Amino acid sequence: MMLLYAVIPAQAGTPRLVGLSGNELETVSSADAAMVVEECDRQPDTSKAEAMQFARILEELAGWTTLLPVRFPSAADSRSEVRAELDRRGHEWQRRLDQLEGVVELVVRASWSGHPAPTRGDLPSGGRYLRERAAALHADEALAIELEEVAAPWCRETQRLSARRGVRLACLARRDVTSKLRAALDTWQGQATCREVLVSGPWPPFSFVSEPDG
Amino acid sequence: MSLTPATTDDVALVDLLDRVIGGGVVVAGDIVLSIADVDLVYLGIRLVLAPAHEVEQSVGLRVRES
Repeated sequence: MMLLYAVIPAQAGTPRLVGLSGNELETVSSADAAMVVEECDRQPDTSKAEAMQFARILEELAGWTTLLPVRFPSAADSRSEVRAELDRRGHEWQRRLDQLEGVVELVVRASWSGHPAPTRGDLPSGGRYLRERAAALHADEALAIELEEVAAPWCRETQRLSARRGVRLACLARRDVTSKLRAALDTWQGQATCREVLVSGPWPPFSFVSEPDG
Repeated sequence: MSLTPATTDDVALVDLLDRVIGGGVVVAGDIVLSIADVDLVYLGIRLVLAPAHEVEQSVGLRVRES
């Protein structure tokens, strides 16, 4: 079985890294792209520790070449299965790799402080719950639009992620402008004390492995 | 159990793990949820790490299916 880590440019070579099962990482190549894999004799363990180790390996790989991370945990039965997938989607992946050169992903969380979304237990009636919920959703939508406007000058692409509270926005930005993006977000947060902003990353471009629709 | 991160480091950890298991290229032959036991373990991870409404949807779906 082959554990799958990332799609990389065909000419990138082979990384000198050890995978989750303790074996050296290899590459399976096609004309357009290559897949970083590890041969192993077990299915991936879906523990938090293993997911974190996978993320660390991807971060090391991302420091070495442009990549498209593969969702954890993914595997293929054989090299020939990997090669077939590369033959089928390699051209699409190569085009996306070209677009992602030199960029990283940041995740921005924004929320209104002191205005938690209502839960049914907090409110005396279903009608009031729905009105409060609608108001919270409208407030979050306004926050998302503002956040996207603040981030836009520094981002190539953005993508809204699901969030329990407030807004979560994945931002694809050139590595050399991430400090400017963070500064713009700090300024935005400072303009309204009721706004809370948290930024994490930079990560490999997990949320941007496909070209945007349209 | 609270799903709200307590610190900036917790936020980074939750975001990273959320992206590792929720983002990235989905490859044909993906075995993520193909075996019942793995499915349950994977769902267990998401209970800790995923945004709550996703967890609620997942759990709700499971309950309705069973």
